[in-house]
Amino acid sequence: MTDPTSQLADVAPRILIVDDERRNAELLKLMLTPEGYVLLTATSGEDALALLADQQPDLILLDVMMPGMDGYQVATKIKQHPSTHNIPVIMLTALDDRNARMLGLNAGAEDFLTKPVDRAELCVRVRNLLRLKSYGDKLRVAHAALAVALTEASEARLMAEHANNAKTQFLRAMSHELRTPLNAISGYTEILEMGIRGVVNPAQVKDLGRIKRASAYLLRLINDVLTIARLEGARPLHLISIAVNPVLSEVEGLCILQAKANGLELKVAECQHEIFATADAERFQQILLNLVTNAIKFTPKDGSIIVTADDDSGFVRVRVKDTGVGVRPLDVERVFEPFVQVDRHLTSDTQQGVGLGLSISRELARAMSGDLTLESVEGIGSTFTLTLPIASDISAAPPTEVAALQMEQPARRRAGIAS
Amino acid sequence: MARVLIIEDNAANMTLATFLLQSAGHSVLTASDAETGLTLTRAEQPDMVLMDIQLPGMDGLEATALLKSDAATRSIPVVALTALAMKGDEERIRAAGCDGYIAKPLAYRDFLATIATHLVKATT
Repeated sequence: MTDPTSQLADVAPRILIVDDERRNAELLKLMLTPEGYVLLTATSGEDALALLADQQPDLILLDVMMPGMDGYQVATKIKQHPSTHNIPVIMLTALDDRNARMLGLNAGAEDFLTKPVDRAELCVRVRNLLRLKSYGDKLRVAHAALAVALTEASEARLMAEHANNAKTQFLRAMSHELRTPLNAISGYTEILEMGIRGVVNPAQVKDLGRIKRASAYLLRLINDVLTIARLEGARPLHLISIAVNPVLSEVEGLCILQAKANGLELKVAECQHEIFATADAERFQQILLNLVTNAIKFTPKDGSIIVTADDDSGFVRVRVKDTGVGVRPLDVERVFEPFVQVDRHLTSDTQQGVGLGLSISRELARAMSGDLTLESVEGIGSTFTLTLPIASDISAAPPTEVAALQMEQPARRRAGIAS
Repeated sequence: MARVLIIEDNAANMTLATFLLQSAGHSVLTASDAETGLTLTRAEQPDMVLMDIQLPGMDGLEATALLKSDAATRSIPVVALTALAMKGDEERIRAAGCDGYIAKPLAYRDFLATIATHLVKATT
């Protein structure tokens, strides 16, 4: 944006001289011409007001004693009219006429000069008042620009709110409409599986398993979308001191079979000494699970996944390093954006997620005052680093409820029939 | 065992809930809209009402409020069975007077356990 006050610069100030005596007016013009002003003249109060109807001088020199309207009346009119009341007025009064000066100031004039006018004094007073006027002008222009900006901002906010409401309404309807048939799908699947409708043969059991997994995936998808849109019910984070090594081995236990099935080596190198992180136990495990299952998904056969933990300057760092496909440098930050999946072609359909896992994991890590970052070389592998604040020992960190984050993995509370 | 009235407009989900309740030994009454459900509740005095919330015409929240404001039906537990499972939904539904809340898709064990809990509460 250009400086709104710049239009005021570099224009010669315009001064209106109002005096019924031509000689006086000429004298004032002579005195002021060397200052580089544009000079206008009016020979009566009426003339002056007529001229002010379509001209905007920066200052007015106003004689008091004039036939017709006198200077006080003219000054009063000028100061009452919204289009002219900002123009400074200097009254020209007779020498030592205190009464005239008071009348002029009371009429709203900014200053006065006594006749005969002293050139140096005239120039200084004019210059000072012009400077004050220019400050006022700049302030008014800035104020107007600010008012415009504020209006635009509030309009933009209103539009954003409308769009956001539309989004919420849409997601609300989507959630409801998808859950309704899903209830029947997963419910009847379970009934069939229980053998209530007759004996189920092994091939049918397999098929039912596929239906269950697909509906569980669909439910997770719905819940993830709502989580990202922050429309899910909030479960506050329960921050406690957590021993890191046991979490690592638990994740190892949960993932080792899946890794083996994919022909991958999963190695968890626990930290040599016991370290504790301040975190929500469930969230901590959820993030690690997400990182390891991701690594399994994106690492080709015969590759390896190594999970390590250490502590460094107040933080616990857990690294999940794989020999997978990696991501291009420009995708390193993109993988944390919702709905972004960089390498879809490498995953089979059943493994495919929606690209919300990393986005949710990073948000959770940050909500626990930690972070989740990625270093990756395309074709070589990726290393995700989860940092969490260190807890010096078990007693040091009493449980804390952090309600700031409006997130939860909603599947847990109302676990679907298939989960 | 108990008599349970299911108010639900989706036929597949109605059949599912009916089946699950019957398999647990309960007897089931059904209504596919709120008005019919209200009439049945007053006439039959079931031990529990399972209430879908989004219904054609009068919704489940309004129907629950009516049941809870009527001395003849006030003591019958009303459990919401609904696909409204977003932030604030449960609070809103409980505020309308529902004694319990089950989100769809339902897990049948949790479902039957919740039903049992409210039946016990109602008789003690």
